[in-house]
Amino acid sequence: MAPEVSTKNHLANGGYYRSLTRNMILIVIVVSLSPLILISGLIGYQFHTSYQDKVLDHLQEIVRKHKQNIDSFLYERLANVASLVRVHSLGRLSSEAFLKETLSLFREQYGGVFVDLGLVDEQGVQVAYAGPFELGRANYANAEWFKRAIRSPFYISDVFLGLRGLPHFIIAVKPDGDARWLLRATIDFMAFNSLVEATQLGKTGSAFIVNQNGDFQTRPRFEATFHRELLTGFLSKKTVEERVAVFEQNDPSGRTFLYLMTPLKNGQWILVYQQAKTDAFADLYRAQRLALIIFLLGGLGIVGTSVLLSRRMVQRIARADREKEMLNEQVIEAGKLASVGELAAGIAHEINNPMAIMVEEAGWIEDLLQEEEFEEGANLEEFKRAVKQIKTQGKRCKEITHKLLSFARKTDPKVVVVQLNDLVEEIVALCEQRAKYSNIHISMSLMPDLPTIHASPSEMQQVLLNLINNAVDAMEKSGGNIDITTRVDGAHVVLDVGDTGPGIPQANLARIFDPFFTTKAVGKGTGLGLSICYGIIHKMGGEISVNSAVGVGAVFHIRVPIPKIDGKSGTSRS
Amino acid sequence: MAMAVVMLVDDEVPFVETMTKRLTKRNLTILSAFSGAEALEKLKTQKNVDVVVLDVKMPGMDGIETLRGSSGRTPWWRWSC
Repeated sequence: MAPEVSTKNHLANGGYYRSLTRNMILIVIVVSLSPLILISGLIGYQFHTSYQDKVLDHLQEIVRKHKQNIDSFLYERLANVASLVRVHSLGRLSSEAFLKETLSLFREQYGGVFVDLGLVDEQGVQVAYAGPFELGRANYANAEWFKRAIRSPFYISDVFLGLRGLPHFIIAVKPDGDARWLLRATIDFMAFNSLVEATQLGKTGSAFIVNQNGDFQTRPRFEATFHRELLTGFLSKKTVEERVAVFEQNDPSGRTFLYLMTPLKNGQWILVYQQAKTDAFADLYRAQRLALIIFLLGGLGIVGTSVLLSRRMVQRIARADREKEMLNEQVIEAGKLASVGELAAGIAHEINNPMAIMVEEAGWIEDLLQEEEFEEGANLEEFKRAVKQIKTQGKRCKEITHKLLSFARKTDPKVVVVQLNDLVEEIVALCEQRAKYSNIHISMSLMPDLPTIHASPSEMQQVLLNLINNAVDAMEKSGGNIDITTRVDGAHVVLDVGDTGPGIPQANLARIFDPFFTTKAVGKGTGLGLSICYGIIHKMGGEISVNSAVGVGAVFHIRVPIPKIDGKSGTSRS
Repeated sequence: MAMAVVMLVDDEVPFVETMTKRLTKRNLTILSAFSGAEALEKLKTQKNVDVVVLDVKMPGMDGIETLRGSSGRTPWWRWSC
């Protein structure tokens, strides 16, 4: 009994289905999202770190390469000048013509990088000069670069605005030994700058060179704010020559910048590559954004689907529970009906014996009345009549119980050959008395030689009885006519049960075969009769339908297929 | 005139009694029994019974069993209602 009780409780308590829905939704979401989140998190993190590493490695590699380019450029230029000093004598180098020739050779070979050449004596006077500017006999004695250059074998200056007002830097080489003069060359800053600028990457990447004090040696692509603190951090690290160090810093607007730094020119200069973090990792961020969008959409999809699915599922469960409840009730009702049927059968059976005895006694009285002593009796005729009546009524009782017993015999669903006309007559006889009592006349128009059908006789009896009883119930108060016809229509045997009762309203017609649908007062009808008929007729492959008009009456039509093989077996009795 | 001997077997006593009266009035010799067992007992000693009216539904041995039990003499012709 337990399962039936619980569905009743479920249906009574709407909250059960709500919580069921909620639980289903939660479980689906949790089960679907957990691995999703776990995997996305895991892979996302892995991707993030390895991609960052890759990007940084790449940038470091580029910076390293450029460092090598720049360094080799610087040293090559230095070597150019140094070889001049080593190869040629002072006298040679003092010749302006020679310098001019050499300069044009250099410019030819190395592009416009070499601006000018000059020979400066130990006092700082430029004794020979070849170049575009009027710098013959210029005095550099107080120039910083000279003071430094005259003390070291070679010297590369920082970038500065010199006498000419243009940014440049100077390469100076002293000969070996005691000689105190030097050969200097001016290197075009712009050409150098463009070399450095070549390291552009992305939208915000720019490279520039600073010296150890943080002074720009090249012009950066953007107005980059370079923080000296980074420099100190870099310098204090005591980095190995080859390493490229990576730093991060926010600018005033809050944007985070990456700084890659590597020493140049023996550590005097530092090549700085700067790029906005979002720019450097643009691909990574884009991929992450995309993944996030997909994840969110997916998550939404999962949530949406689980909600929809769970709702629909629980609706179906609720419907199934409702149907189960209805079926349970039907089963119970059917059981009750069966009990009532058994009871009636039992009663009928019990009544038979007393009835038989009564009829016997009446017969005995009839016998005795034939004795002579009664011949003169005044009431003899009346005695005879009364006794006859007793016998008649007794026989009537016997017929009724007989019919009831034959009907109450366990319904056998076994399908046999059935002659519908016989069945109709049987049932009409059973109902006749009740109908007469309610002023209802039953007429039959049964087609002769009606083809037999395959059906269960007891089930057909049930259907007929139900239809006739319904008609009688409908016309109980007012009386009327019930007309039963049988005929053939195509491949079907058609049975019509029509009455002249109040009719069935249009609204009810659609639901009339629904279980538990009844217009009778509570206790007077279960609403199961027609639904059972419907089931029986459909089970045997037939159709049951109804036409009705309010105020006119109702006609129920039953169509049963004529079996193909022994269709026309004539009027064989079942 | 040889009178037919009829045995009535039924557990309903008033029925058997009234039936006996009626049939006796019609010049039949009536024997009665109120159970299948009693009927068989009487049949053992009474060999000249011509007709047996046998109720089917009786407590104890019902009509069918009684009929079976009465083999041992010439078989009965059966009419059933």
